[in-house]
Amino acid sequence: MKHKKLVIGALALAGIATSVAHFGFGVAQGNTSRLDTVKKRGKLICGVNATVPGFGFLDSSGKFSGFDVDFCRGVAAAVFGDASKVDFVSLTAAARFTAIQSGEVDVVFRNTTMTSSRDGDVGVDFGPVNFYDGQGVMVKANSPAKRILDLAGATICTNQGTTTEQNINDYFRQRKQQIKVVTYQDFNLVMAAFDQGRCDAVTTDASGLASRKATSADPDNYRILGEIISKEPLAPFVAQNDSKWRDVVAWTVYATIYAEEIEVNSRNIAESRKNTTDPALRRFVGLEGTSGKGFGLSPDFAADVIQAIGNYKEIYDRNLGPKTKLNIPRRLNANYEQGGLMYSPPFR
Amino acid sequence: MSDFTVNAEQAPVPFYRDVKKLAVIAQVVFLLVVLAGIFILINNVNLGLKKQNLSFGFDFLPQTAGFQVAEGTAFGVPYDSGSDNYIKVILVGLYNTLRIAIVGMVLATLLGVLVGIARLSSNWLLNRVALVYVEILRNTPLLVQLVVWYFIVVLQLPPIKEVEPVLGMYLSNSGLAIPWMVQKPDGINFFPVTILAVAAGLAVFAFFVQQRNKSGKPVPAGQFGFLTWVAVLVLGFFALGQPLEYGVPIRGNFGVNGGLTVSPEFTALLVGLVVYTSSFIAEITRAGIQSVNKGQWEAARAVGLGYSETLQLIILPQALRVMIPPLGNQYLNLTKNSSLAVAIGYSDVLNVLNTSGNQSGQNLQTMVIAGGIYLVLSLTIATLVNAYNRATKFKTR
Repeated sequence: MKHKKLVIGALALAGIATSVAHFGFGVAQGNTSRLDTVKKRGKLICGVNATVPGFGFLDSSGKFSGFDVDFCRGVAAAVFGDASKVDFVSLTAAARFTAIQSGEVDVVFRNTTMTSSRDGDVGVDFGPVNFYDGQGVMVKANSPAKRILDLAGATICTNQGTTTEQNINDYFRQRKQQIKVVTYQDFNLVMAAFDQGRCDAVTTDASGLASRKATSADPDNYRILGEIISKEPLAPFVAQNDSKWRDVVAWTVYATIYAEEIEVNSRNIAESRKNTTDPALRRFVGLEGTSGKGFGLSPDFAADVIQAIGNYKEIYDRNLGPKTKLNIPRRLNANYEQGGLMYSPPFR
Repeated sequence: MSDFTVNAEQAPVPFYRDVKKLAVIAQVVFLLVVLAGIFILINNVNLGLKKQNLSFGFDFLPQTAGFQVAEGTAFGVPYDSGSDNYIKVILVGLYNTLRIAIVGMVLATLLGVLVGIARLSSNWLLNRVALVYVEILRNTPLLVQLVVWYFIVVLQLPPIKEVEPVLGMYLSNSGLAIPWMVQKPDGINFFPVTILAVAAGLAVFAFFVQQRNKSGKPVPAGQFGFLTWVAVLVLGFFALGQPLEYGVPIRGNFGVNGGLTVSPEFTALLVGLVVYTSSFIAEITRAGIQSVNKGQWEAARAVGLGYSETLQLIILPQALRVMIPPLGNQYLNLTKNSSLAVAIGYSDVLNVLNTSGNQSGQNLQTMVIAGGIYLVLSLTIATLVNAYNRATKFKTR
């Protein structure tokens, strides 16, 4: 008798425990797109770099600015029609993928190279490339090295969790030379060690080097070697298997590129979205067609993006163009009509 | 009167008022809650992984790692970034962690005990200096201290180009390079011999200390231990067909090659960990010494022992019994704190695992491996300390 009651009690408790477990099930299983989560929250959470001026930088007044940061604002504008509805999270190179996997951030625009293993093994999906880059090497101005190969036997510093670690290793191995690589947690530490003379050279994406050089106390102190040793197509990424959300991010990027092609910018978009007769433009600003709806956005999302952050050229010029300290030539990042690689599928 | 007689047959105690049954039920509930918690955790991880089409496997381990590690070998076997796999690179990291942890424990203990004794000195200046040392070091974050040691102390050494060798040694901000017996590229791995030599030396030392304690006759146990260490090294060197050669640092275009190089990262991490941990050990030493009855000091003085003899022969051996358990905690802390190495670029096991996780995309797995490695290290240290504690604790007969 006594035992029977005990057993019944235990069974009842086991029942409770399993239903609790099922509750846990339900939470994780949710089959909704990230887009719904973002809409419900009323804010986009975007992972960015905080240490590369021009791309993603946290200034002394606590404001984020840069090329990648502007694209985050663009996604917020596409979803909410309001570019200010975004919170930025600064991520180290090593933490960026886990931040997406764990759902800490909705999307990452953080000068990230798109590679097959990252797309396949890491569990992220990439959007379109928003910056074509390549890995470069920077030395002190008085260094004897004229080319990268002159650095055989040298100590080269870089930051952890990037494609650069393998690239530089491969480069010297292919040429049967040895180097020493010291890796630090973030690029501020890399530069600190470089300035102290711990490393003979630093390596990362050429754009990052240009940014570091331009914004340093004495840019003449550094020299960027001419060669580029790798392909680094930088692209945004979202969690894997959420094509609806990936579409939103992808077409936000395309909108900026397309706008440059059809010569729409932040100054003339307000006029165009009211009374344009050009059929291509009418579709782009949502006066015709239903493309926005398919993404779960308003029909005029592209116009909102351009109004908020401008077209690709405006974003580029504002952050990296000739009027900035960085002054990075567009080269591969020019529109295809100017011989670059920036090419948007049509909005129709 | 009969109103007060309780008939057990007619009114059984319900289970919710039976203390014994309640105790059993409470245990069952507790167990179920714990099991349900674990189940939810595992389930959530699995679902999260499934949602992103990821599998939780360790297939990546035998693949080529392809990235460089700044220093260290896989326990004597050199690491080749072009062909060696993740297992080997993790071993290199583990070797670096063990190197820093073991050297750190020994040095932190020596320094800590000295500072602890200084804290109790009757010399006013000495004990104030020790007080300031302890309070500053144990009340600032270790990470801050490491960055200071690395960037503000070690890297301030002159660059290698401006350094002239002293006795064949170069001390620069690329590290300390000294002439040393180094492994021949084609020689048999000598590393196990060095470990064997230390183990044999310690065993001989322990044996003679035991003999001394039993017989009461003076035996030079330390010397015997040292001789054993040297003997094993020399014998091993010839038995393995002279796998070492004399290497001298030679300056190249960038830095020096040859000989033995102690990297600035290793130095900064070692100094940082030793100094930080020594401040805690100093307090443990002070507490241990103060726990010894004052009568012991007076009795030692009465039989004519001086201050240092009293401390060495009477006080410290007794204080040690109190000190061992908290010392063990400090050893665990030191080992785990060594994972802060990543901040200053030292390739410890966590640093290497972080990079492995990033290169292979298997972050969760590498974190699990890191957790497992630190768990095993900590449990091993705890077991050793406990064994030593049992062996030396005061035995009542």
